[in-house]
Amino acid sequence: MTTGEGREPTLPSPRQRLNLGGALVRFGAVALIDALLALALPALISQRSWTLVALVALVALMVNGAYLHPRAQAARWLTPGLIFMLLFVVWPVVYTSYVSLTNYRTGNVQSKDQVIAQFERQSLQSTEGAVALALEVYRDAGGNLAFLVTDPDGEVSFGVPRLRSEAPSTAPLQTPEELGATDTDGDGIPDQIGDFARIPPLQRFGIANQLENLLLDIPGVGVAEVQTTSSARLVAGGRRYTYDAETDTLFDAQNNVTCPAAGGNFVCDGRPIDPGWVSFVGFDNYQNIFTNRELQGPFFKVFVWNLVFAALSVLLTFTVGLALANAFQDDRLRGKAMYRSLLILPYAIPGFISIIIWRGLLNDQIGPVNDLLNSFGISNVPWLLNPFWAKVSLLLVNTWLGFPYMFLICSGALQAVPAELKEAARVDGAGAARVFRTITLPLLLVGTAPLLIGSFGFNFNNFVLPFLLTNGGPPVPGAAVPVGETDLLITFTFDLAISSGRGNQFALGSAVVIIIFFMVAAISAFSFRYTRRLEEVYGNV
Amino acid sequence: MKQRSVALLAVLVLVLAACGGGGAGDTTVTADTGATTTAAPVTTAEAATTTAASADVNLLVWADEARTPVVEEVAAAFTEATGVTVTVETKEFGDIRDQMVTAGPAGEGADIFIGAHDWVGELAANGVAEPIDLGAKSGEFEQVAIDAFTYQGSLYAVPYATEAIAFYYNTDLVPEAPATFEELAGICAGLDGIENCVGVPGGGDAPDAYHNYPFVSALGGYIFGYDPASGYDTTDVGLDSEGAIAGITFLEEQIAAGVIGSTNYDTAKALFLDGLQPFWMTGPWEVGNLEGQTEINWAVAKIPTIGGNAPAPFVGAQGFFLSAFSENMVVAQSFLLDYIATAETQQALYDADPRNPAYTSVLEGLADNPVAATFAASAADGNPMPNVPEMGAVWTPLGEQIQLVRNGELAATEAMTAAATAVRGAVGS
Amino acid sequence: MSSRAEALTTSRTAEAVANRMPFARWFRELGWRHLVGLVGLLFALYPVVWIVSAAFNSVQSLVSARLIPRSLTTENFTSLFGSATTPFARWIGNSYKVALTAAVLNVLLAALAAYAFSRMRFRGRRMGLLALLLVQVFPQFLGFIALFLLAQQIGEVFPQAGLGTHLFLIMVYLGGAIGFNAFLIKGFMDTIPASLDESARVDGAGPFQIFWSVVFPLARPVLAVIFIITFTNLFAEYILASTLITSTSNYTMPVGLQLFVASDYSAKWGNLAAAALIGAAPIVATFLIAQKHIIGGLTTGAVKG
Repeated sequence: MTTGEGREPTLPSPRQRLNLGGALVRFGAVALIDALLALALPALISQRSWTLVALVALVALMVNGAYLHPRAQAARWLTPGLIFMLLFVVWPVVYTSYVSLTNYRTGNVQSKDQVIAQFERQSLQSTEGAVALALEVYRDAGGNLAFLVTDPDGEVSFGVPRLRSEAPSTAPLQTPEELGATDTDGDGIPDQIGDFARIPPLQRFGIANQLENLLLDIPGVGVAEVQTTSSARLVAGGRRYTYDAETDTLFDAQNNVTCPAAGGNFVCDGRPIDPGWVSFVGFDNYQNIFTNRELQGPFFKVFVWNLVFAALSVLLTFTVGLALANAFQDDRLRGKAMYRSLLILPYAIPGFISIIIWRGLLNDQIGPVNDLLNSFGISNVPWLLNPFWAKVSLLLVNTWLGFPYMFLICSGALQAVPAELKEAARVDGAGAARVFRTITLPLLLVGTAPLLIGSFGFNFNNFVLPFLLTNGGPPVPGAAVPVGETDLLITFTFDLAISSGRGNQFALGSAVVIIIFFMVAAISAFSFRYTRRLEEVYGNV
Repeated sequence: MKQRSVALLAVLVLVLAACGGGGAGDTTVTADTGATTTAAPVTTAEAATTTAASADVNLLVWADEARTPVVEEVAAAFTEATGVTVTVETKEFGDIRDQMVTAGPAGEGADIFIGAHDWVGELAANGVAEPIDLGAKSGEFEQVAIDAFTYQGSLYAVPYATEAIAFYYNTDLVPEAPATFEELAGICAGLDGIENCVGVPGGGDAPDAYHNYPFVSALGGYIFGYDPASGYDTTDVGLDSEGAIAGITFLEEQIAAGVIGSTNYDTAKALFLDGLQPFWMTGPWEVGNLEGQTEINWAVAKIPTIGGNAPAPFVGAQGFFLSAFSENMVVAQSFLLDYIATAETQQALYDADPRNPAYTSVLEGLADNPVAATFAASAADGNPMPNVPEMGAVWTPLGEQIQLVRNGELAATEAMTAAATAVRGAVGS
Repeated sequence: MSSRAEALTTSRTAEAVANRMPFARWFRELGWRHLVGLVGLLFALYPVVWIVSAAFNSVQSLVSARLIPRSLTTENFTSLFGSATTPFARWIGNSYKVALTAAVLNVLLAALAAYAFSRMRFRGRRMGLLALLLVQVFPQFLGFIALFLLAQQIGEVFPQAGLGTHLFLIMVYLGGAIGFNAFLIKGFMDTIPASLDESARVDGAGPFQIFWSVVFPLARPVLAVIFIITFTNLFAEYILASTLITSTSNYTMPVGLQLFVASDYSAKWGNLAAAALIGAAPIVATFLIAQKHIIGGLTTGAVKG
């Protein structure tokens, strides 16, 4: 590599004039960032999001280290970009790895505390279900509340409710008549019972949140719990579930069983009950992927096609782009500017629109492409329906989408191939084809290798194209796990994450994502090493 | 519905994010938080005269675009009567589930949200939706709607609409719809200049289990065994039952006879609208599009019978859910029972977006509207889509295997056997 | 011979006439280039011609679409802008705002990092460069669970940069491409002679001054290209935007279009085509204006001393 000659980072020389001002700006900026981060900390701590606290601390460390430490020269240039990469690329990778070690899936999305709280809120039900009651609310001068509930048979109960958390009361209730009820407006509902005055329905909304936590024990009948401001339901008793932190079990009073916590759910009589919580399961998901036979077949099939797709995409776009760029490498050629402007059009149109347009064009029944073929006497091609043609379609569209980029790159790189080299070869008697093969192409490859590797990486994980063009289809007939002929690993994973078992399997999907990431990274790292060797042979273009 | 479209990505994000936020403070209403008790002097209500609600009592409702205006009107009435502030936010219908699953546990979700009945299993398993007790009001709704929202014995929403597919036909091409599928072959053969005869989505390049379910059900096939008392039995997969295979074999014969082509949703729609396809099997959501065009004359009929049986389409229901994370349960339930489950609101919801009403008295008022009446009759014949979370493992394999049959790539028996095996494998694991 | 030459002059293109080349030689040197170009154009423009035709065709649906429309209309454009439920103009504005800001900042930050990699020697430099590229291989949207969480948490503290905001989306886009862009810019900077830095240093310039007044201007071609490529990609970016932007009014154009037009593509074929043209216009314009720059900018060795 020819680079600026290796040079140690220099300490600021005394002749540098803007030092003071520069330093002020720098300190000011650092102080500002520190202040912003410090502002975020309390909220994050109160949210108990420790990972983010750690990230914030790391960012602060990077900023302060880079701009305050006198010897940190390169870091000053790298830090701004690195922060964004750290937060929005690296952290997502780390977090996805974490998710892949848990049991995140439908049924396990809450924290354990939340799950316990939900269970403990449930009431014992009588076998025939809850009975709907009409509710009236009363209040005495001291602010104490009382409930008057009427069941569908007109049976009335009146009493002072207790808090949900308090022990049930067994004291017999007094009837309104015993307390002395008066119905001044004659609507059949007492306006005054003993010391208690009726609160009109619309005014109960102000105390609605209190009502929610109140229960009226009706000895020998059940417990009335408030449903709306004017209705309640009669249930068999108070809490159905009680959690015991010491043994980490949940007691179900309805069925009289103790349910131990295991693997993210409470297990009652050997059956996990919903909802469960998020828990750490180690490498279970990975083990599942590597040992599940039904998964392995499709996974391997998709992997092979994925490699072929990515490699062919790069090859095709590069070949078409190079062929065109090479064709326009002659200054005498008229209309070069027009050619170039028109050829980049596929690149200019927003990709996802083009893909949808292509999907319409390739429609086997009403698509213009088949109409065109028909007019040449060729019968309908099942573009998106047949395994082979669907793959062809995917590559065709991807080539269309990607060749202008390669065309631009090759146009630039071709100009950079020193004319003297070509001339020298020609003088040695090499023909145009030979010059191209032995001089131009190797130099071009060295210069564009990082871009080609990048393009491979992008296409390996190309989600939008198969998602919008074929949706992975056509399906593989008779597959035990849904898989399509044009599925890439990434779309396959996606289907796996959302349509296997019950609901969504996000942890499993995350595990596949991590596996894919390491595969692509390995392929890329290998390619970079290889191109470095090429570079050593041919030098940097 | 057939698949979860683009919003799928969002699902992934959202649900996972929920867990990540799990450490966040408990926003759940726990039993012990009622600090003010009967013993404490209550002054708010005494001071209040007309509006009694304190400032911290407010409701957040998530609704889709079509229903937002109605909910806003109801909310205004509720606020005026009770003093409780109700905020209505518009969301994409499909996003609501995913966002509730995420935002709910983090304490940022709505108190009340609109949703489809086939979300119930997932929402309940995640502990996001709270059961609702309609009490005597449950009798005011169509039974199929109540059943649709019932999961493990509890009702999870106040329904407002049901929907099922039926049979659109082009009256310029065919003056009268056939009563039986067997008549169709003759009708199709007698028509010139058409591209396709019966447009059923789910062929071509897009799987669609939903639109093909009538063929599964027509001769006795089913997805999961169902018992009214205990609900769905996910260990009993009926996709390779005799009836299901017979139904899809019938479908296969119709394809071979040229009655049903390999259309996807878009193609079927485009061909019907352009008068190149006399029949189109799809739902009431296209009525608006058809009314807005002038190219063709159309009508709608029930799906023709197959072997003398009325094919049961899937019935979907929509309703208002109550969040398990609401901090104002009593107020939210008052809003649902006293303001949403009423004839006026249900009528207004129908007027805003004419879907088949779930509220019986509103439905009865539509007897003189032939299109609405036909869709209602079709829904009455239908089976609610199973609302168990295991349905997630059904849509893709079933849709894809039928797609292969539709495109002539696979025989019915093999397709249904494969679909059943895939579902059993996924549900069992 | 002469008769053949005569026939050629009447039928061949301008160069042949001007240069009075025999056809065989003309074809060998230039003609084949036109042939390749024409084949390329056919391939590139086939869908484009359909898009243009459909955008102005008074028939909306794909079924009855014809390459030569029976009647022309601008209805497909006006109906895109005219609808209250689909604020297309607003979405375009959002897309510009997000893509422009992110692309400019992206180029700046990448240039800073590239300068360090190109001009300084520090521990972990080579590894760092490789790591930068490998990390970039991770498709960002797969980590959107984490991004979503991050957005929620940031939103707790700075609601202006939380979930559903353009600012958050911009930050995510910034993280997404810096590594790769820095790598490309570094390659170009390596070709700028270090003697230029040296003379600036002798004149008393600090590292930042050297960067800003010497290296940055000389790297302009590559910066322009990277800006355009980044802008183009972000302007059409769909997946991240659709997960991170939650309200209709904040949608970027791809998200809005996908939800309200593309979900029904064969029926709204005309609208879709019109939107494609509108979306392509700014990028085509930029290319036309900056074509020379762009081709030169991709030439990593163009200014090699």
